[in-house]
Amino acid sequence: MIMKQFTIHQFNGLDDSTTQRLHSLGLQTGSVLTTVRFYPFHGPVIIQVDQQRIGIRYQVFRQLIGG
Amino acid sequence: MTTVALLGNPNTGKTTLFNELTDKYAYVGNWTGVTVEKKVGQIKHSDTMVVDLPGIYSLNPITKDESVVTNYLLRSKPDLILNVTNASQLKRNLLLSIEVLELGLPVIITLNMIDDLKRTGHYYNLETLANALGCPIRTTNARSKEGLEQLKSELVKDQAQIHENSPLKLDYPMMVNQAIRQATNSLVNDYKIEPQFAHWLSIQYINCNKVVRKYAKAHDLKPLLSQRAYYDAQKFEDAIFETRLAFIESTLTTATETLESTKHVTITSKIDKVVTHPLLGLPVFIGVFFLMFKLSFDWIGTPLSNQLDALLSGPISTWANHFLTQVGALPMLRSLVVNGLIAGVGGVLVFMPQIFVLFACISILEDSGYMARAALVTDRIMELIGLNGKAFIPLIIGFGCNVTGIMAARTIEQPKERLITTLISPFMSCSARLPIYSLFVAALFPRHQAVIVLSIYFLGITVGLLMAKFYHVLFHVKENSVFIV
Ligand SMILES: Nc1nc2c(ncn2[C@@H]2O[C@H](COP(=O)(O)OP(=O)(O)OP(=O)(O)O)[C@@H](O)[C@H]2O)c(=O)[nH]1
Ligand SMILES: [Mg+2]
Repeated sequence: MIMKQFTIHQFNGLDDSTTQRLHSLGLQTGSVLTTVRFYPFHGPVIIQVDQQRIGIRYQVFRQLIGG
Repeated sequence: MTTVALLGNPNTGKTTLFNELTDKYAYVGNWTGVTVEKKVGQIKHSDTMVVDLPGIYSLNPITKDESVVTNYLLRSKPDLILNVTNASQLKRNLLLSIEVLELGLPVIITLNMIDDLKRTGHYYNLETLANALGCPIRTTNARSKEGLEQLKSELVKDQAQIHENSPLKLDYPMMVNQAIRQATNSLVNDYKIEPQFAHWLSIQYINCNKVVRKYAKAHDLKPLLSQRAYYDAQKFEDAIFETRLAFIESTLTTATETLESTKHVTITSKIDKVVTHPLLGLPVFIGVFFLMFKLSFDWIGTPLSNQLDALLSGPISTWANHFLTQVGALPMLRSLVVNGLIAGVGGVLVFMPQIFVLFACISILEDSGYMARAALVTDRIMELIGLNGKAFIPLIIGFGCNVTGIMAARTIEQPKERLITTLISPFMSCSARLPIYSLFVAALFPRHQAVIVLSIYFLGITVGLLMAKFYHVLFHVKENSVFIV
């Protein structure tokens, strides 16, 4: 279990629909997210934001935390 | 006749409420996007109509079924909107509520799944919320019917009695406010649009709502169309989003109260840990399915079928035979009943236990919320064939029945992925094919029925997946899929 905290740096580079969906889940630049679980082979990442757990793709996760 | 529209985020219990309130029954399932079109029902002993709408995250739609809601609001004017929210996820639920409240129609917000909220050890001061949002707030538990009577009595009212609320006015940045005001004024003066509706249209237009933009084009609303480039260049969309979120955060902070917490959470989260485990998840998934087949074939289904078969071909046909001989029926009629009717209908009937058990298993899985987790576990594999973990749910439901499976494919955002999922859905062995499988398996492999049937199923899946890859190349799918569970 890798509970680590990250801050969302940016939404740039994501396509509009993904950004919009993440926004409507209440995520914005500066939101703090905790990673709950990484799936192997760069599979999805489960993150926790305000008590809700969301699964996102690894690439999306990298974009969000600005790497 | 009063019309009440149920509107809210996906999986918040709208359909459960709808089923409780009305004389109709619609399908309920514990994942996103169960309801894909609007359904209408009537509250018993009243002339209030209730409209069940698909769940949406915002009025700006990404998928087809989401646009149903925006189109509904643009075209018809319900007398009352019942905004169903998940009480434990108010932050994101209220983002939608704000958009609805800005419309200025009468709204009641219900915090549903209030049982889940209580378990987290938090509570909200309802009065504070009601004051901030300017509409009545109720709490319900649609599963145990808590708070439903009161809610029902508030919905069954004449139009005249419904309490009006004035539209919510958020404090957007000055530039945005100015843009909204200018657009609203010209819409009201030049196009004779109602002020409240014009106000909402302007906000939604500025906020890049695709459906509203199409609407504006179709109605040639020049004040909006002419400013489009300016709105987008100024990034008003982001400003609006930030204002809304800030409003919600401050409202919720002031309204939050703490209860003493209970322990229940730990059990579900422990189960959660296993079924979504990165390495264990997939074996668990296969195990769950194996168990399901074991149950339907080896443990419950087949023994029951055998007994039923024995009963039908033994006592019942001899009895019918005797009876018919005694009353002196024609030999032909006797043969028709015994060999035709009983043997024929019986041949199908004996598979009922198997189908029944399989269906029961699938619906338990559906209701437990396992589906959303299965989507997560399988996304990596699905990505290899260019699909989305979400495509998995329709495929699994396809095991029950391909038709509902295909319906469920509507939650997939990318049109091409949706098409592919629909196309490969029939490869999933739906339960109607089960009798045929069972027949073959029973005839050819009497020993290991469950294992063989399971492999037939997986063969179907494999072929389906290969076809998906093939279609993928065929259609040149380039877009990345939106995958958020
Ligand atoms: N604990 C709890 N569960 C609930 C409550 N209301 C509904 N549910 C469950 O929540 C799940 C989703 O219910 P639905 O009625 O299908 O949700 P929906 O809002 O219609 O979902 P979509 O059609 O996908 O938008 C089901 O498993 C319900 O049994 C509640 O008050 N408390
Ligand atoms: Mg529904």
